[in-house]
Amino acid sequence: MKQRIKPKFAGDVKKMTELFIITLKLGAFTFGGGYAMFPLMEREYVQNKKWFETDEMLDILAVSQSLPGMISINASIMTGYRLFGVLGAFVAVVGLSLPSLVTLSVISFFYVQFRDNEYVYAALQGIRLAVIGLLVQAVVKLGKPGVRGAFGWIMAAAALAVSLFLDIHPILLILAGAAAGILYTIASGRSAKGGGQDA
Amino acid sequence: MLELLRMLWAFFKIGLFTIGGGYAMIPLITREMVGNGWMTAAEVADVIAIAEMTPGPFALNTATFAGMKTMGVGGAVACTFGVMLPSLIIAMLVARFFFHFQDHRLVQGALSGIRPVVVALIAYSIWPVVSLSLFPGAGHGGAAFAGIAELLSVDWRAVLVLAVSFLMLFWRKWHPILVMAAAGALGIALFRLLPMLTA
Repeated sequence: MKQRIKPKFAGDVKKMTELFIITLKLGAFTFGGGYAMFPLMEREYVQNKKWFETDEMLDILAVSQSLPGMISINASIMTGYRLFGVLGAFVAVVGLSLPSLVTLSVISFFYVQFRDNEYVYAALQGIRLAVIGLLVQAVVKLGKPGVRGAFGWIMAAAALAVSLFLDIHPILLILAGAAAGILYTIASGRSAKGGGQDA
Repeated sequence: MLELLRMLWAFFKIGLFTIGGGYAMIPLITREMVGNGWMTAAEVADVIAIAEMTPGPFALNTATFAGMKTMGVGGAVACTFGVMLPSLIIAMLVARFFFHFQDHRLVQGALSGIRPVVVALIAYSIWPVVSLSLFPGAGHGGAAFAGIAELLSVDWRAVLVLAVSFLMLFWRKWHPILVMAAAGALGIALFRLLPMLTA
């Protein structure tokens, strides 16, 4: 039993500077919706810095997705908070938003030319295709620890099938997943043969 | 000053009531901007297009651009801060409790059900990008399966960029940012320069 959960590296200024630089990168190089940021986060936080396990990253993403506000912002706040406490959350938020503030402020002066520029459009077409690769990579990397055992595969398949055929809000899926997981844990705790078929 | 506070408040509401992806906030943005007389509906459409075309979280881009257009740099900062403020408050409170109860048996159970769902949600998010960039002719967001005619009409240049991105990511294990930069350059060469040469 752990008592009080403390930030992982409270007061470590060097690591906080690194967090700031990572969130700057996240802000500057995320194209598209919040999910497109996950591969970059995984690469930086799990693979390069080893500040988080893949499991922890997935949990942070799940919670971020379920809270009000944008996924990318929530995820940055939670990672920053987990690493350095309140100060870390603020560092992460400033880092994440600074690239947008600078880029968009500059572009706002000539946005019509930017919007209609064919080179920008062509580059964007290319980047979107790379984002497909990034998302596939995220699924592979997060899937290994995230989808475990028969229960995990059933849950993933059910969630995918439901999203494909029904227009259902992701939060409802996450809540259903939580309910199924709790039922499964209780059931498999009582008897060795536990079955959770809720989706 | 009062106007700045009103913009901050407007984006606070936008941040608070957007749950899940940033795109969920488009109707709210339209209502706040047009309703307050800060922008016309056409300008809002421009803002959304620019926010999609620029790197960075969509919500932050929209907030910066909307603020910049109506009230300059001060407006940009106010709107960005406003849209992040609900997340800062809520995500930090939740993080406080979440990391505390993370190791509880039932929380672990819930997470074991949530993780596969999150992986499935990321997997599902690949589809709109694929449909947008590989099958631009197909109707978006509708049927999950492209017809044979659409499959045949796939642009070979898009397939090439996609293949190169996959190779760089999975075989050469390049950093995602490098892969996106390369795909952007390839996009300019194939989608913009090549048609100019052959025309």
